[in-house]
Amino acid sequence: MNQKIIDKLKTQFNGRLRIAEKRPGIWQLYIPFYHEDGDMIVIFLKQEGNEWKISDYAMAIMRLSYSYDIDTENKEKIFQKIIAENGLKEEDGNIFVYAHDENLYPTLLQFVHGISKLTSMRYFRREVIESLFYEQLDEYIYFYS
Amino acid sequence: MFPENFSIGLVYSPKHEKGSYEILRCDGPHGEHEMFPHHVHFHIHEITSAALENGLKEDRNMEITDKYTNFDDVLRFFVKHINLKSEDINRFFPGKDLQAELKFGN
Repeated sequence: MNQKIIDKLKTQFNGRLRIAEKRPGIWQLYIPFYHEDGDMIVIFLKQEGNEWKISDYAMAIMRLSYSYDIDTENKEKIFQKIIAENGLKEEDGNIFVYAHDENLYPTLLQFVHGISKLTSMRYFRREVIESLFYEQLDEYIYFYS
Repeated sequence: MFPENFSIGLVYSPKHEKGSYEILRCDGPHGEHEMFPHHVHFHIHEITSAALENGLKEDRNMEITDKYTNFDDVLRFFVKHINLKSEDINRFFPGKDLQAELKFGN
């Protein structure tokens, strides 16, 4: 990976960035953004032509599957909406976005933000939604009575 | 997905309570952890009683492990660690020769 780009990213992340080659031509970025369980958000970089492909190699979907399955049409719709609204793309579970040299830093932040929102879909679990439903129903009945 | 970035876990769904708990997760070296910055290891997330008492469904607790280095190893480790019965090994992992390994495993 181009040293100039690494240096620029390191400056932008205030030195809190580590890069390691995962496979030939695929780099893993270690930036201090974490999931609730303390695991770091997984980010890979691959150069494709004059662009960088920022991706997670399906790690977000795997993480989400611990507690929440995208197994209905509605869930899939919400999942795809979060992806689209955060300017990301999805292919076979791999979440990704393209960036140029000059916008690599903001796109990385955008990517992390999107991944974070996707993995937060676990808060849509039945028991959470159910408890909110009854709370809202109580409020509604109280308001109209 | 990279084959070394596997994850195998145990989720507990209580009968008389809504929701589920992520009791155990055996992970590959997918990245750093807050507890061990600048290092990437095979690791195990195991919920603590303190977390359960605080109503958490998962835990930040994690320990580094050398008990497995690939998916076949982790599967053997996992079924032994959770004391999965022979009949359940055959039921959930058909065709996998995990029982023989269990007899001679660590």
